Amino acid sequence: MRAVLASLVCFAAVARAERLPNGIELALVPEPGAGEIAVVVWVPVGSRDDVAPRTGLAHLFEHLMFTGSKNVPEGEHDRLVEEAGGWSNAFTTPDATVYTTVATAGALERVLFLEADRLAGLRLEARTLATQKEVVANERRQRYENRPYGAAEGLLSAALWPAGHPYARLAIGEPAEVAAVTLDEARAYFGRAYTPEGLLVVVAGDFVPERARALVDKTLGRLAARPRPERIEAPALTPLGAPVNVQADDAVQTSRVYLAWPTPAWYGTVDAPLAVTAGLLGGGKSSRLWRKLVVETPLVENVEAAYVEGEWAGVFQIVATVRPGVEPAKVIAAVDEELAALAGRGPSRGELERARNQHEAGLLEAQEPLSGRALQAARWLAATGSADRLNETLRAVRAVGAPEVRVVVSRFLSAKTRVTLTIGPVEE
Amino acid sequence: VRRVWVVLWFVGVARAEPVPAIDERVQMTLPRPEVVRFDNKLELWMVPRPGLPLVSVVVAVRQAGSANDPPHKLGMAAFTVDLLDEGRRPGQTVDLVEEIERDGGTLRAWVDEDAAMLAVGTLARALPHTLDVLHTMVTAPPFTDADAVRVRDAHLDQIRLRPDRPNAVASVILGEALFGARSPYGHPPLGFLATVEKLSMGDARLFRSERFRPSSTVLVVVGDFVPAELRALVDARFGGWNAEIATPARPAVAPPAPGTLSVVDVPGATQANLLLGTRGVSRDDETSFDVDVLTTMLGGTFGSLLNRRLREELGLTYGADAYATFLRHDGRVVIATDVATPKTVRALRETLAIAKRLADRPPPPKPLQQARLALVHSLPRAFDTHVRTAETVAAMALHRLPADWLYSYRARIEAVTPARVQAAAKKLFGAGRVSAVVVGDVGVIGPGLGKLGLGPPVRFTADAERAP
Repeated sequence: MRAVLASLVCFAAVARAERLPNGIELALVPEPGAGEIAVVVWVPVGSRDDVAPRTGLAHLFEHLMFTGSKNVPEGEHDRLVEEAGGWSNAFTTPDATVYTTVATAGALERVLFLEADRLAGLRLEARTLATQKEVVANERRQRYENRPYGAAEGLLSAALWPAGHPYARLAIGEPAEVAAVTLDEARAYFGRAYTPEGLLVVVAGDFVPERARALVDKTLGRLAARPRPERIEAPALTPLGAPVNVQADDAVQTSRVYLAWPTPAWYGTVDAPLAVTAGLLGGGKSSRLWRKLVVETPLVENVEAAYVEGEWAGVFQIVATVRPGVEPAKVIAAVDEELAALAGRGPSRGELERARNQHEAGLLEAQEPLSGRALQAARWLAATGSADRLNETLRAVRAVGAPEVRVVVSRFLSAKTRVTLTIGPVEE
Repeated sequence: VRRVWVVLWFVGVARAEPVPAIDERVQMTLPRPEVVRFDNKLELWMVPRPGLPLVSVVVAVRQAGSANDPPHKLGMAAFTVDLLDEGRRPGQTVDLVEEIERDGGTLRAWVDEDAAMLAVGTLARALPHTLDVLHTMVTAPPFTDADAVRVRDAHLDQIRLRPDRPNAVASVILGEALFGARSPYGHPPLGFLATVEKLSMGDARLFRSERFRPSSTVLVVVGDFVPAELRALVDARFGGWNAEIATPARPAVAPPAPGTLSVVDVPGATQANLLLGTRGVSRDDETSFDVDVLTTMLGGTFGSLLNRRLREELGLTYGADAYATFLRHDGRVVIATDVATPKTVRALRETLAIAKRLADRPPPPKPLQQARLALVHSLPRAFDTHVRTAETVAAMALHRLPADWLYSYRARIEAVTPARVQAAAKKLFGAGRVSAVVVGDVGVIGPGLGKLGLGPPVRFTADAERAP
């Protein structure tokens, strides 16, 4: 099966980054014939930059960015994008706030205009601020409070990172602190955080590069240069010295087990081995944990493993929904057995091939939708300064062998340095 | 202060820069699937797309969905389809699913109401091998009795765990309210504990052999391949498949029943999950494009009437959606939103008022035009990945639409008038048409539920059963 991939073509670089006079880093990724365009604006300010007692400010501000700007009345931003057949959305991570817009190709100038207009002058009004605080409160209920196992993300973050570390809290912030944000604070935040210097903009899709470049100059290029937002330094991360066990109740029918480990900062040498290891353990129905825990024993309803990259640090995570009546401890013991086997004997040739091939296919599939391609280019640009790292990433995945897998499992996935979270039914 | 604000606003508008118009000259060339019908009546729909070395393959089997479950064995289609990737082919050292995954592929198998679906996304070089494996899954799946017991137990567990997902509970109750209990379209694809407990390997073998026939099967392939080569590959594998036997007739769908209000009490829930629905139309109904425009205007976009009012103006929710599902012989329109528990009655009242306004009078020109534009301009998104393209094309084939159907889509949407939208709204949201399901803390929601004009609330349990 390896031969399937050995002959994969190497892709020519299609995204070149350049710096505009006002400090914006721009990358154009042309895709002739797509019929659509995608624009990603990566603001290098995230929830890690929030300072108590105003946690949640970066995320609340993400909402406010859709409430109208100098030339776009409230409610019009989305309508203007949607009548162009598109959508516009955003997310806030600890590291950044990221805006994505997709639209029909003929709306490129409109989308760039909308981005430039809200970056140049957002309309911030008391009524919209109050409404968006309510919307965020509803988002919190929907994502965390009224969702089965919804507490997991917050509990894991708090257990994985030292107390007070910016990664240890949820991006959505503390409800009382979000509710207390004033209009003046929001305005000050906009002035401080949303500056052209440091912004990453990726435009992907069906356009002629010279024309797209001219449109960027006419819109985003006219934003007045301002100093880059100051960011806090990465606090020193001390590895977990001992296992951390957390138990929680929820209104659920069965338990779910989360095993999580902190990992090094993104785009280092262990990225590819950790990603391949996640696939080996829990990527698909022929993965090691699925076969063992779902098919052979069967102890769980489902199991998956994931490696999530982060600018300061990442997380490797295994999540299993326990079958009703099964003791979570049995599941944890079975996972430990598989991890020990992987650290000791390493993966078989067949399962390593499967994991590498699946990861490579996943990387290529992520390039398919324009929004995914633009977002990936922005992430690469933020992390490495290059908007096109597909070939390097594919090469790194191909180079992962059994020794690399054994090393990362032994080094990072030890039972002695992990968080074990079990969320189970409320005891009657 | 207000006067000053008005003047400033006026000045602001007067000086506003115009928002750039959409350049309509830039158009995507829509795919035109090439269709091959083999002698055994199997259909192959091909969309070649050179570029990334990837392919997506969808096998869609008509009349093999949950609507085709025998009444006493609801859940049989889902059970059968979940078994198709189990087991090992003779002479192979790994199971079927591992054959796909070792190539770098991802396999999904599911049923909707009208069809069984298998989908593989993989590397282009693995296409011949993928077709080998899919051929085995469709024509001679090697699953065993032990596989059947395990998959059945997993389905039983999923049904038992349904109360953890309030939206899933609401969906089961709404399906029954719209189409009637245990009717072809009225039950959840997974079935019920009582019907799934009885399922065995023999049931799955019987369902497959009765329903999976070349004349009911559509193969869609999108991606990096040469059509003539693909045609030969498919012919070599599926061309000799002959399995025509009589298929049991599908039971008729009952006419719409009057709308109901169903309630599941979840003490302590901070949000209430609201699901409202009404019977819609099939894709071949002449009003289906009117329903497209109506639901897009109502809740198909962020700037839609519902999301605008409930989220952006009133802050009642994180989001409100409306969408239409076109079934082969019927349809439904569903409105979904989750709201803070004390705001439940207010949110329902607002939602019903918006739907009623659409039924009572023609829609204003601006939202109507925006909905039409959103639909025609978003067409490229249905084709932005191989997987989405394959599923879009498979849906066309399942609805028995011609291969050039896409080319008339824009004109059909643009032809939808205010009067047609109102007529569709009247049919869908007229008096007594809407059913609603509320999953939340009834004690906090309060007695206002009974005063919404939806009739008296009928209590259900968290297992989606009528409360005693």
